[in-house]
Amino acid sequence: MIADNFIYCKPETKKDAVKAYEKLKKESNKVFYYGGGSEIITMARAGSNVPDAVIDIKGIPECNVLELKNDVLIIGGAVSLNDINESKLFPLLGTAGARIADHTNQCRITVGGNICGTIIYRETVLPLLLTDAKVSIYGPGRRRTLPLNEIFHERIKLDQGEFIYQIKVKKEMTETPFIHVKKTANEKIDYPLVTVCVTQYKGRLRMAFSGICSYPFRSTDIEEVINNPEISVGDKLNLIHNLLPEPPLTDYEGSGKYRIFVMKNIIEKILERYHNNAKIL
Amino acid sequence: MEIRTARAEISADGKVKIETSSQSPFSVMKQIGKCFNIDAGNIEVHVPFVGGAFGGKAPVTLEILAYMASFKVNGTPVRVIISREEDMTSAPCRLGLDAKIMLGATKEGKINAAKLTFYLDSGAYADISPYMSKSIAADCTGPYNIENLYCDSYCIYTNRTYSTSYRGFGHLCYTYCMECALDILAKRCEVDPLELRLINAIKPGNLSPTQVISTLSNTGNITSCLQKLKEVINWKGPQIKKIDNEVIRTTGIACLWKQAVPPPGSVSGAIITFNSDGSLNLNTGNVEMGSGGQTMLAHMLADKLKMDIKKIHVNFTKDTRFNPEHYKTVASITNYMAGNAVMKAADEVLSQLKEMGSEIFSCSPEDIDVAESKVFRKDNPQSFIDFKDIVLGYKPENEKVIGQPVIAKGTFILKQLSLLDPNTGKGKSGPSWTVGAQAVEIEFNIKDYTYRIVNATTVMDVGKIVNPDGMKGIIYGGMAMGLSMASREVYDYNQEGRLKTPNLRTYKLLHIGQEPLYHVEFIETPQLDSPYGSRSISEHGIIGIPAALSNALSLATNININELPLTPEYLWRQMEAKHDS
Amino acid sequence: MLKFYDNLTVINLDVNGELRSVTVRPSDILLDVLREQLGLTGAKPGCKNGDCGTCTVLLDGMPVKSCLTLAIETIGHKILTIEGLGGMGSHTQIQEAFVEYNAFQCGYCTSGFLMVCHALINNKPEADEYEIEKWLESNICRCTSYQEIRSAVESVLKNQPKYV
Repeated sequence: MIADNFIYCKPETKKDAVKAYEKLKKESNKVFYYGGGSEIITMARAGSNVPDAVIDIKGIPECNVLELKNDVLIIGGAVSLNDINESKLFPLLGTAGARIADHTNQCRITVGGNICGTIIYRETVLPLLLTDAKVSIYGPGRRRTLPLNEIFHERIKLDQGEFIYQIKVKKEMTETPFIHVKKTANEKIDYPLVTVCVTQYKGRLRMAFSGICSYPFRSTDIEEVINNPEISVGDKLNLIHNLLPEPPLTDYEGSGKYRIFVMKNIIEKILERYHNNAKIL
Repeated sequence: MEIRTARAEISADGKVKIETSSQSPFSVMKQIGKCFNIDAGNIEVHVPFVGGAFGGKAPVTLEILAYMASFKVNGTPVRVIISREEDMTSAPCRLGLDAKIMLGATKEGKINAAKLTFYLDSGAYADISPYMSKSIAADCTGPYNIENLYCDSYCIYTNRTYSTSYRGFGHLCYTYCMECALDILAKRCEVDPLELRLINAIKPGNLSPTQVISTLSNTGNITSCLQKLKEVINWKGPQIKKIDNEVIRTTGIACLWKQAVPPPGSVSGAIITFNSDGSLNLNTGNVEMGSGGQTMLAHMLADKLKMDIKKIHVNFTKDTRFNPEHYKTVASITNYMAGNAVMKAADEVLSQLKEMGSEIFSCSPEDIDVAESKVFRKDNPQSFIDFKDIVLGYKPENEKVIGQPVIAKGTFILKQLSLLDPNTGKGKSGPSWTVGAQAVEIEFNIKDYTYRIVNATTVMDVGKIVNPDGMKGIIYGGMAMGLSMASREVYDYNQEGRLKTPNLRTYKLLHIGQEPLYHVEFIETPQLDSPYGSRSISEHGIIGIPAALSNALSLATNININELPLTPEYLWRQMEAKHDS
Repeated sequence: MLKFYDNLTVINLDVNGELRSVTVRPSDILLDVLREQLGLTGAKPGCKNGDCGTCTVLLDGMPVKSCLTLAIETIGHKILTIEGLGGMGSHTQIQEAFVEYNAFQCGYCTSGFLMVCHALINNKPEADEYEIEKWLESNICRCTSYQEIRSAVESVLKNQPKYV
């Protein structure tokens, strides 16, 4: 059980959600937007981050949209990872989501929750960074839509009271050839040692990582190296190691050195396939 | 999967009622009585279904806290439930062990001498680790004949979670070390590791580590197990099969044995009563926790009474006021201790029914038979009396009442055991062993050092197959536990002595999709003093599996692996060290 | 008008086809409410962290971990627990298959597994080995080897009318 109580509401419009936020914030300190709820409940039970109030966004119609409209795929912030996978509208994101948690949990974990939550891996961010996804954000006094890579550096940079209500990806980007590789310590469903997502667009490879560092990222420097035909595969691997934005993560899943070994193996296989076929699929 | 919990209340006249998820309700009774100076007769302990235990719920833990809390609030019922995190960090866990193994053998692989030293990581409290220490010493060689043997088994306090019995009572720990050492010896002697085990297999007339003379009855037949294993897995020696450029297949083997070591004088009992429809109630003190103990007892009873097992009712919940004491539901010893008690109770049932039958049919009791819930003369089975008409006394219309209600009892007490001599170690710790041979086949990726477990096989001498699907299920479960443990489970502590993996997200367990194909075959060498010759089997599936997996990986990596768990990162570190040196 | 739940409130939940009244704080999880207020102890606490699946129930026909679901967010949804899965004398095929294939030992994880299997069979009657594993990975069994559970599910799927 969760020892502490908190306030709960389930607005039916974005406007009501923000109004609720503003009202609750006057009396309480920690007001969270609530999607699937698994992270919030887990932390509340542990006592590590107990909300004073939660605003359940699953009742807002825009947050539950999952459709192609005018060649743009619109994904509501409260859509579950399982629904995205089952729809087959965005195979890379579906695949990435399908490896994040076990199936029952995937039916609850929302894409918005995975992006904005506290768990560091945020593997849904990888396909979105690689496909130039845009996020539509609603907050007190304003709404805005902007590319994810402008608002995501180590974690999502939202202002107080803002929440992601939709993600938009161009249809052609959802159809780019891709590779998704996730290596864990042992189990199929687990936090990553290293997750690598690769897409091929206009003749160039794009690559994003999770698990190797303490945050997911896409690096243009690494992509320069990857796409340079003059550099051998072996040299590419070493260069990529040096281009990581921070030293590799060490935790109970695995040590940093081992993660480097795993990452190099993954990338080597991808590059060998690419070099042999000039395409990754 | 069930976390530990206990509930206590004290009535106005001082009677204590404890409800707990425990394997040892009678121990709870005794400990609470001893700690708090309460007569045993004023304590009743209830145990409903237990959601899995495997030895971990044998110690008395939360019951004491629940009692104290209830006492504090004047006997109001108090329930203590701990979280999974608390369960993992503070409730007793499984043993850790280090070993030093020294083996002396001829070039042909016959082991003549062994010096074995075991260091048990008992954790913060001793609990029953000293008994595990002794149990390991008494079985230290494995099912082999080693004529010159020296063994020290140290039980050591450490500042970690305290250990208690866990499926195998420490046997999987020392067996891992010993069986890895045997494979290394086989490599040195250039002898096939399965042949090495056959050469050294214990046989009737050989002595166990504590100088008990081995017989087919008290030990079983490890040679037959090994020969059957060889046939079942099509063993042609330690081979590396290439699957493709990156993947190879290898198989590792290991043997297991274990004797149960409850203290001399441990008791069990069975009471049989009948219902008016002729069905019977089998009343024992064995806790129901998934190991199918009572099912096996019911099978034996049904066979003995030649009746339909569906007419035998066992009670799933235990109450120390009504169930005859059974030592603890541990050590896989239900079949032997409770089984013997049940057989005696069955004899009493037959005797009482035959007595009544002889009076009804005017003949001697030897002329009466009992089968299919009927009592009849052997020479005239068509004229029978159905159980429902006789088990509560025979009361025919207009005729005199014959007999008494049938109530039967059987008892068992463990005798003929002895303590170990402090100088020679000689002594008899347990009634018998169960032996087996196991194999694990893997596919190993030589590039990234990950592996997939493909097949796991056990050949076990079970004495007598009773309820084969049930037996297989238990052994499969033990093998699965062994694979999970060996490949990914570890109690790892940080610099401050805190457990790094205190929940089921961080402590890795085998999930569906990771498992191999499981195979189990049986050998039947009867244990003569056990009902139907059956042997203990519930724990044993786990014992040799970690070693078999490790031996498969040692073959694949060409490294003498000797440490658990066998994670890919561990293998990578070993391979890197090999390349560097 | 947006309703704020802040203290003990009486709410109505659709549980096993019946509307049941419970008194909950917003932070009460569904598992506790089902067990303690409705006496539906089939769903079990194993970790209360969403890792083991012993608490699994169905919400609108799909499995959820009731330890990671607030009771209050299930208003207006259909909850199905093991107690609602066939009663006396009318077990579902999957329950019978579990008995036939010896797919349980202590039984603690069994209700969770049965709910997932039931949802799988209803939603994916054509499920292959990969799909079965995908769904059942959500649950841990410590007693069995999973082999028997797999056989039980496969036996029922074989008999399902397939979508055309």
